[in-house]
Amino acid sequence: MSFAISLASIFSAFIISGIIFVFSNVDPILAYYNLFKSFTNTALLSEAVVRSIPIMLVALGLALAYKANFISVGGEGQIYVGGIVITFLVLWNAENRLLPGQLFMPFAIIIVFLFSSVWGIIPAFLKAKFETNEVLTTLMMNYIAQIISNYLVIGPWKDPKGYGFPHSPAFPEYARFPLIPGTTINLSIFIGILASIVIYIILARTKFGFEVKVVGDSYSAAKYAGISYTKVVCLVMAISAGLSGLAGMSLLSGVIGRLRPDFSPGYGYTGIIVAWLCNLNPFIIVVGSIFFGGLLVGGEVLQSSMGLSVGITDVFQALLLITTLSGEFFKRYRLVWRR
Amino acid sequence: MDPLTILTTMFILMVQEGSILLIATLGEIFTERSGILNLGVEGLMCFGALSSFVVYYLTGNWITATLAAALAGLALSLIHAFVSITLKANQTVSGLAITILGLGLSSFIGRPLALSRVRIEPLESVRIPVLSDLPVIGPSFFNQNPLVYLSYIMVIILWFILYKTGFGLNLRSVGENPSMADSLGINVFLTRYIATSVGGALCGVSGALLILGYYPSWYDGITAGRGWIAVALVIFSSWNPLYAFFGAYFFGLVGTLNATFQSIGFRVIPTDFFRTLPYLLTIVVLVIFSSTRFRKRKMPASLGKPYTREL
Repeated sequence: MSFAISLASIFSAFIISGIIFVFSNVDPILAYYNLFKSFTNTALLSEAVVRSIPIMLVALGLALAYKANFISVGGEGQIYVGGIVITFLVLWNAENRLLPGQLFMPFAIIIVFLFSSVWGIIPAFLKAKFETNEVLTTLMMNYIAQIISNYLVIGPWKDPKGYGFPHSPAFPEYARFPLIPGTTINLSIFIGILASIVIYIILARTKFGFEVKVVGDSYSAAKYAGISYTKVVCLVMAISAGLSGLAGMSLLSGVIGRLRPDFSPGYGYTGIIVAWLCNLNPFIIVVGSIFFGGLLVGGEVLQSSMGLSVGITDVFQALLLITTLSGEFFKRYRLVWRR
Repeated sequence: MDPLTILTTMFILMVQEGSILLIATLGEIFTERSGILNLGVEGLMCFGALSSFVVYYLTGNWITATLAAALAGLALSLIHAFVSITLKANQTVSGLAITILGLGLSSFIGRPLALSRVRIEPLESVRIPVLSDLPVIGPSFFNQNPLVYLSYIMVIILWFILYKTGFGLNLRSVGENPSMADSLGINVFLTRYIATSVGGALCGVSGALLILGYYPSWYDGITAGRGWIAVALVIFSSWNPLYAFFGAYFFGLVGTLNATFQSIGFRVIPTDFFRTLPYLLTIVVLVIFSSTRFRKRKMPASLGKPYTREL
């Protein structure tokens, strides 16, 4: 029954977007064909997997936070923090040459994770101590991180040999994730897969995972059980933000190869939708991220082949979230037909 | 430049920026007072801005354009109302979905406008006789476009509705204790639907003011987080329309510091720092006003909680 409701939810989202297509004078069948073209074509599918890596990392972290009922929307800002930290490390090592090439990436992964964690602990701490609304604080911090990142790339970190273009110097080879041979997919996908296993183990097998769920279910029950709310949400957000920071690193070191202004096209927000749609399940999130990666590629196909704005993928994502949310109602309450 | 001119310029910008925030904050206060948390403000504002831009471009009539914005905000907030009131879903998630939907729809529909760089003439200011001759306050508060004046009037109207009418009393009691209100014969669901759609319409209108007043052309992300700041301003103003007036202009002032310091050639701190100020300040304000002492007495007790009628 619940599977049927999920299917019906997805189907409704298709119908509603179909109506939007019809109203904008677009053949809905052709539009959907383009939107899902990634799944019929190897090159596009590889591109979809590339897009899925940052989404996956963000969504996995958010799933952990949402399990603790901490509604973070800070993934986007944490991606920028991760981007700032990895660029700093690249510039720092280029100047000081302290780290040999082989050691750079393992070191960078740890440092990016740690600094992004600190950024993520701030809203968790504020919520624990002052009861600030975490949706608002994490969102405000997104704007701040993006402004700082853009300031750095246009100002002090601008490539002196870049002919005035607003980007940092290119990352050296040792600061790039190698590609899986024959594809455009970089090795940071294994960070994502590893993260999904770790999050699963944390939630299903550890005492901390149990505490996360207790805190998520009831604040007062957690308090009664002697679980420290501050400790749980801070730790949850440290992991969540650390993973989102790695998403930023994966974008720069894996795909773009340098810091650019506005380098994330909203992966932090797509991650929110993926986390909820995948029911906060770490393994389903891996698959769901690839699906959404494909959707983003499809959106670009739509834009280039049919002149539609990529905004339509946001519309489709939001509709999916709304219909799924509505479907929950029918799962919770059994409808009884009476004569 | 002499200090008086600088101050006057600052105040003019403050009122422009603040009035946008004010209308959205008032809308969200009205919604939240009924117990419904609508985090879709940013999306409603953006979709309202786009709708009014399109209608103004086609008709040249700002009243029609503002009504279109109100309708756009109302339509989207009705989705939120249905999902969170009738289907009793998580209001935070639904609100986020509405934001993404509103921003996505605006970007989708607005793309041809953004590409063709269509321009509109900003609304003309209307001088209020006598009052506009006051120093500093005159040119800033009383020489603005009609939608800014609407924002002042809405403060009074919403305050009056909430505190001086029977409907307002019902609305507030639905937000405090819905089952009690229900037992007194108040229609909880209808009241919440009305509060959510009126609030949504106002958020749409704030988008109309944003674009008709100050931005001659459409681009993606035009709202730049103002909707979220409005949600924070609701807490800042303790869910009271009168306090929202001061809160919105305070934030308006902070939002104009960047432009002000640029115009007087202040170069000591990078101007990007001033761009982060409204967001930083929002966090600071949240910290101060969220602590139990300030908030618990004022926040509608049933905010964000779906109401299920006991059988």
